[in-house]
Amino acid sequence: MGLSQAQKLVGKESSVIRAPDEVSTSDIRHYREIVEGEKESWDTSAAPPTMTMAWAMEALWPEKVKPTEPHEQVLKLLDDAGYGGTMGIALDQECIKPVRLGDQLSFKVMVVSVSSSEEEAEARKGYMVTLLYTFTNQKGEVVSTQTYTILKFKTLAQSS
Amino acid sequence: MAKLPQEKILPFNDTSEKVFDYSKVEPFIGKSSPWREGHDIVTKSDIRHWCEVMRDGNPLYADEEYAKKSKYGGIIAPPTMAQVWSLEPMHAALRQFVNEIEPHPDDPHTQCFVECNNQGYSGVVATEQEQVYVNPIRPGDTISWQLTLHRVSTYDHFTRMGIGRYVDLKYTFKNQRDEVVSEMIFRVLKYKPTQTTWRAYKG
Repeated sequence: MGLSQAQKLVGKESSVIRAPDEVSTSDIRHYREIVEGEKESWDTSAAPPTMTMAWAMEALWPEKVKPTEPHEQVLKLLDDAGYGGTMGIALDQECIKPVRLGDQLSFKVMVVSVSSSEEEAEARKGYMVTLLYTFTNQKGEVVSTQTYTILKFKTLAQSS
Repeated sequence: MAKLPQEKILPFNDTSEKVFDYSKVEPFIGKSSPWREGHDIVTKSDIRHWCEVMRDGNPLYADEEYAKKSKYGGIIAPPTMAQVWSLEPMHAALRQFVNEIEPHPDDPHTQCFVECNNQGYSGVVATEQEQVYVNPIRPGDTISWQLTLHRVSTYDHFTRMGIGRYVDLKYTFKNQRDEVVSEMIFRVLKYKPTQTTWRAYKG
């Protein structure tokens, strides 16, 4: 069981990760379409503050083979311990500075906590992982901090 | 003597089965839609998303340093991607797909499709795309497009989907400097379905 190892990673922070894309009009439009419903035209001059997490999303391809950052390692350890399912439970966002067109965001992720025993949420049993994201823009200003709680649970296929 | 029930199966050369009336679609051939502008400008993030899904690792589409030394002098978009900028926003696309509400009912190709539907050729399946690349597409470009009804088969094709006619749509893509970037023939088969797509969705 790698769960004790996961506990050791609590409090560790990742290196600065550069967002794959700079803030662009097309991504803002896609986000607004899904979140804000239908409109004649979209304001793509500034990004919705809630969208920050979108720029932290990893590339689909090529797949990252080895987890290098603490938060990736925690999730991998739980995967290996049989908790392969992932569910977002809560996302607290604090928006500090506006995100503007052309900004290049970077972020750091800290492992805040890993639950010490199995917990139950949304009718699933597993381990809660809380991560703290800190987003900065190209000028080094902190634009947003976000606390993301994830439940890693045993999927149906794994528990049977 | 009891009357025999009337035979339901038509003989193969029965004239009561309607033949496709080509003269109804002929007026639309060669006619074009107005020019329409893409909803987004060309962005590096859209190019990255495309390359990831296509698993295309060509550095010309992503690596600024490499692209600068190439004959294009900077990052370009994959030429196959041109049609992306002609796509409708999500909500309009869903309305079109699920409720069959055409976003541009006055376009010649739409009117041709409606005419095909009225004549019983209501099924549609995409069969072929043919693209010609003229100028590179670069980040920051605004892509406009025009749709021309290029050709409709003059005779019926016997396909696995049923009897149908091929309809060729010609897309022309240009950038903000009015340079043609690429052309595309999009060939669809309009066929007589045993059950329409609409009925399959609605149960």
